Amino acid sequence: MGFGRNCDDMQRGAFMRNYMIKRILWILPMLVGISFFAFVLITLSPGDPAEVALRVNEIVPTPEAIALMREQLGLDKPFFTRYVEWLLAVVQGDFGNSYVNNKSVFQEFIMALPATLYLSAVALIFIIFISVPIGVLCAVYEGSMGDIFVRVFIFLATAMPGFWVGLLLIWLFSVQLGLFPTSGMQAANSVVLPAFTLALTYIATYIRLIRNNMIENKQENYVTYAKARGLKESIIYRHIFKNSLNEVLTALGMSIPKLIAGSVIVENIFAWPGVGRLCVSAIFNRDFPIIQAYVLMMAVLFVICNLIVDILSASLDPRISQDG
Amino acid sequence: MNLIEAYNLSISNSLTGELIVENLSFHIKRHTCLGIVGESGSGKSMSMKAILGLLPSSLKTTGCVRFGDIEMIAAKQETLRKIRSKHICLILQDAMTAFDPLSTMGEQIIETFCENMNYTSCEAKKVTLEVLNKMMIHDPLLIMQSYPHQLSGGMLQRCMIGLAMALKPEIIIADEPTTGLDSINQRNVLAEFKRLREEGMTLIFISHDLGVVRYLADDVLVMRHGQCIEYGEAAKVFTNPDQPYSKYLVDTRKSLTKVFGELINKGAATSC
Amino acid sequence: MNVWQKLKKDKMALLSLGIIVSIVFIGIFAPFLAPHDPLAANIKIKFAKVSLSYPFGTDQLGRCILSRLIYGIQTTVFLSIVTMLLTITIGVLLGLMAGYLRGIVGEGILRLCDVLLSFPSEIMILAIVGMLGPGIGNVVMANVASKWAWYTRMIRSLVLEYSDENYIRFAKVAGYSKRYILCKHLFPTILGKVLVLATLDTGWVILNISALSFLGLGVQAPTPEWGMMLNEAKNIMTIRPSLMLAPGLAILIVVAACNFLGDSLRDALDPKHNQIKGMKL
Repeated sequence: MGFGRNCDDMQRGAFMRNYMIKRILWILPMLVGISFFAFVLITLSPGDPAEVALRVNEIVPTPEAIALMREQLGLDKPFFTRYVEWLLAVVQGDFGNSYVNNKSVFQEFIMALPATLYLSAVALIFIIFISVPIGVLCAVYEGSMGDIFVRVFIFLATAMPGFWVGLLLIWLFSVQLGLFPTSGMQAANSVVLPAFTLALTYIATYIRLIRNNMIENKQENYVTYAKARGLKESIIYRHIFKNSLNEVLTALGMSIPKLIAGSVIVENIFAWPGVGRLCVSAIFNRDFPIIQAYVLMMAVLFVICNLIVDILSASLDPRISQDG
Repeated sequence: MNLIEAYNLSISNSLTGELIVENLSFHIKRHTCLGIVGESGSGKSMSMKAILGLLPSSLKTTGCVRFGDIEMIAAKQETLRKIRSKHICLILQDAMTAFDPLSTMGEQIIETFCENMNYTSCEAKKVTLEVLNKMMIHDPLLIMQSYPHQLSGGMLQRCMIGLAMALKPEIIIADEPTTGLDSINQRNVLAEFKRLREEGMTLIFISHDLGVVRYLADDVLVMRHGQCIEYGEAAKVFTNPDQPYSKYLVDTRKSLTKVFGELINKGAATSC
Repeated sequence: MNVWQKLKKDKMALLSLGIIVSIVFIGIFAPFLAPHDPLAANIKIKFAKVSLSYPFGTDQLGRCILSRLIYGIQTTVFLSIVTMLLTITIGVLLGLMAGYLRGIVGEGILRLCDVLLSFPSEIMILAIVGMLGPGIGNVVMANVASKWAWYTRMIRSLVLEYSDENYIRFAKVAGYSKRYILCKHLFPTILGKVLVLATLDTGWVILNISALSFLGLGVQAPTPEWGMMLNEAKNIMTIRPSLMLAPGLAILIVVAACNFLGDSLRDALDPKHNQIKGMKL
């Protein structure tokens, strides 16, 4: 080929396919591991679930009643039988019934999920639309007063407890100014405060990530040559931005499950009827099936997001994904 | 007539106070080639980047560099940007990392033409194809669709040279264009530079390879540890150097070629 | 130039260190420094204004806020330090084992870490608190459980990295025993790096513990704890919003000091890491 293209492009394409297949196959043992962890967690928990189930229903836990309950809950069978039975049920969407109100856990979960997803989605929009422009501006005007101001903000935002920020926002915007409702999700604008509270730490993280990534890229050889080619600043920054984006997208993808999981605190401050609040009240009530379902669903979500991000970021970079 | 005149060019690191280049003075006449030689780290590339204002802000440049009526060191970035590529074109050492890895070669070459020559993208595309053809690159359309990592170092180097030629600058600065290339690619790239010289292009050619500089340059500047050791006509420096360091360089080169020559002769003799 | 000399030049880092040291000091001597009993309620003087005997005023039960803040150090900050010490101990022990004893033990530890690391730490903490029930001991355990795998993994890679250093190789060639090399050479080198990371993570743990206490899953009333105090302040936000200020600021200052000190230590230990200006602030 001489001056032509590198011959290992073909191999790279094959490598990419192999990588994808491996990556997808690896999911299976991961899911089994996660489900086992979620199952063991509850089995190992102190206290007899049967007794708990009786107590929350305000039945006096006599030995006979406990024995009956154990049989009802299937607790008298051997460990692995119970695991397999539980797993088969879970795959069909049956997480058992709540100890507290005897409703289907899956139903409860599905009812609460949209609120959490809505909150996380709005938070994600905040994150993207605030941190990308500010991060880029900070990199462009590196060392300016604005840059220094933003850096102080980033530093404070990463040290502030999220729940405190939430409280201060409620006090300022709801109690004092009356702009937003303090809690619940009835009003159309009630999502603003919780979503912003949820987004704040991530906004700080992403401004920092984008800024530092772009500044790092500024020192690359291709930028020197782009300048030597007489390109305008705006075009050069477009190249720098494009090159910084991949890492940011990867991190952002990984943040999505963290956002959903992190909504626990925010949902409790703002009385947002999502899965996080469901989970915390379940912890107080020792309502194990709900905790189990929450842990399992979140872990699965995390694994799946992880997979999608990996594949996306690999296919976005022509150095990895281009076939010969 | 001198195209570029540099007096007392010094570069220092403002963070550590370290002096990188010290009182460098040289000039270059139209249609000639200035060769700059020196070991790596002697400040050759730094001085060239300093002239074009391409150094990071932590490095401080002092002195005076005249390009026509313009004083380059004190010039604004916008003025420098217009000089870069339209008047002075730089060819970088490391071709493999000189292009944005996430854009195709076509995009990058076309955007350069659009920026500097006021072409429409359609014209720019036509010119790009012409340039690539002129550089004797087969299948230029394929090259334009390729990403930098898919091309060899020599190919990228030739794209850079082709781009520099098509921009029709008054002077081309080539910063070790043959380093990192295998010998076949080196030869091809050198041939391009020879052709540039024959077309009357003014060149500053930086290299640590004395043979290459001798092949191209009219004047030679020898640098070591950021200082000018010797500066004069190539013929004189190579045959009768004043300074011990340049003498050492030339002698080392001679003895190496001698050994090489002997080996070749020996090989020829035994194979007969 | 050693780390301490570099650190001495960094005024902000010294300030951070000063803040942390004095807060720990105040926490230790809380019984002597606090003006009142943090648990002594006196409903007659509830919501008292700032005064000489009550420098920060009183809360809804008439308890001295300053005293509660000072005793809060003993719960919030000390529990975080205990958490980090536990995490580091487990991490260093298992990390050294995984890095130095190859074979089935090392491999086993490594795989376990990989599985645990595939869970986000938030979920891990909730899962464990959910399993064990609310309570501060459980919260500490949950934090340790969610973090040790990461430390083990990191210490293992440090061990591998340093095992290739020439002085370790020399010690091996010179015939010193594995245990001697481990204790005399590897351990001290690695400990320095680990302490830096631990400083950074202490801030993270303080945020976690106070957040869980805020939710009511950690420290239980009436024990003074900063997150818990914010939870109480939340309920009376409309009447007395100023009660939210002190505990929130306390958390902010301690966490900020930890973060800043950690960043500065990292720069001092590893100058290569931070060549970009303004990486930390």
